Amino acid sequence: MDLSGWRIASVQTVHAFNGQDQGTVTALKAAYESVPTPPAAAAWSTAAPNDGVDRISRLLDQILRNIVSRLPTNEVARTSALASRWRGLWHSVPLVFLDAGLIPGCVKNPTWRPGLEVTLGITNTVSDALKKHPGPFRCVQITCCYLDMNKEKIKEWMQQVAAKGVQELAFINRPWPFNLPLPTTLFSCTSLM
Amino acid sequence: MAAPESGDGNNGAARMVTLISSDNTRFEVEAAAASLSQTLQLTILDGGGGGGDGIPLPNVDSATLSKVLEYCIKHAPAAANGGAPNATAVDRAELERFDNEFVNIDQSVLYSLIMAAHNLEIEGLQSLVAKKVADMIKGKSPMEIRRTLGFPDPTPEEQAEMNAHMLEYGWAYE
Repeated sequence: MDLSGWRIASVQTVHAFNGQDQGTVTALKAAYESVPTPPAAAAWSTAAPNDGVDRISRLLDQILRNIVSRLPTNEVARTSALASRWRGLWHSVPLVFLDAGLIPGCVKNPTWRPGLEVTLGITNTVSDALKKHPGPFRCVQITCCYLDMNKEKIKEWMQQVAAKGVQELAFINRPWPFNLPLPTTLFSCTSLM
Repeated sequence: MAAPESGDGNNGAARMVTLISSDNTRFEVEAAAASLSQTLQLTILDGGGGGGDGIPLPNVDSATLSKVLEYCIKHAPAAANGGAPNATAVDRAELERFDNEFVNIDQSVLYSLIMAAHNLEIEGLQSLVAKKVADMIKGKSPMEIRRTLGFPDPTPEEQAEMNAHMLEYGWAYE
């Protein structure tokens, strides 16, 4: 099969996996490129000068949820350390989870992927986050893990996302096999849009 | 002064409404701008706020209301175009520049704006201020967030809870 038409000129090299041929690398690049932008991706800006008064904590839960829902998952989880008032917020905001968000290299370049050794730690985090958050799952993107190594994990993750009503799911297996079996729960998941 | 004709007032001049802040300052603005507020929209559609009657806003002081209206006036033309499908890239870039500059303010003003946007239900402004606070939180440790948002120093119990959290959610701190 000729995959040359998939090539995107500006894409930088994806970290090659041993035994991956050029066609695979090209197809993976195209896949990473086409992962949709997750909701609530926000830009950086400078902080407002602070006069030492904690006004934000006086805000209604509804407003705090609106704020927290704009943060990436690991940052939301961090706010739950702030105070008891914030602790429940992470769980009360629909989950937006990107495994790429946990890897600095991927945050800088969305089409770059790390080698196998880095992603081994990430798979535990994916499990932890999917297990701890009660749902609903607004958007889950698992595009960094070498799933061939983790068939049991895949089954567990897919059952979690299906049970917790995932709306958007992007799932790119690495390195390649097409014949990776997906749990049937995923196909009966009615919340997927 | 004649009461405004609702709906078909096509005489060239835009229909104006008067809003009255909690400290009794009167603001006259185009109905289209004030209507970005879901809370005010129905009253204005019913013909309220025109002529000598103003719409009292007991929860919003004049400094905050003037800031809110600055936002509404800037965003009203785009909102009138139904989210501005015809807007050029230049228009959109200009609105974005305006928004970034608009929330470059100190926290007491930001807090008043958050409350006003919530009470008046101005969706775009609610998003803008929420995004601003989210940006202030981003990339910081819990202690840094506490300082940025002006939390008091943690009590020993709070400190212990924060440490326990960092252990439990280690992945969130990588």
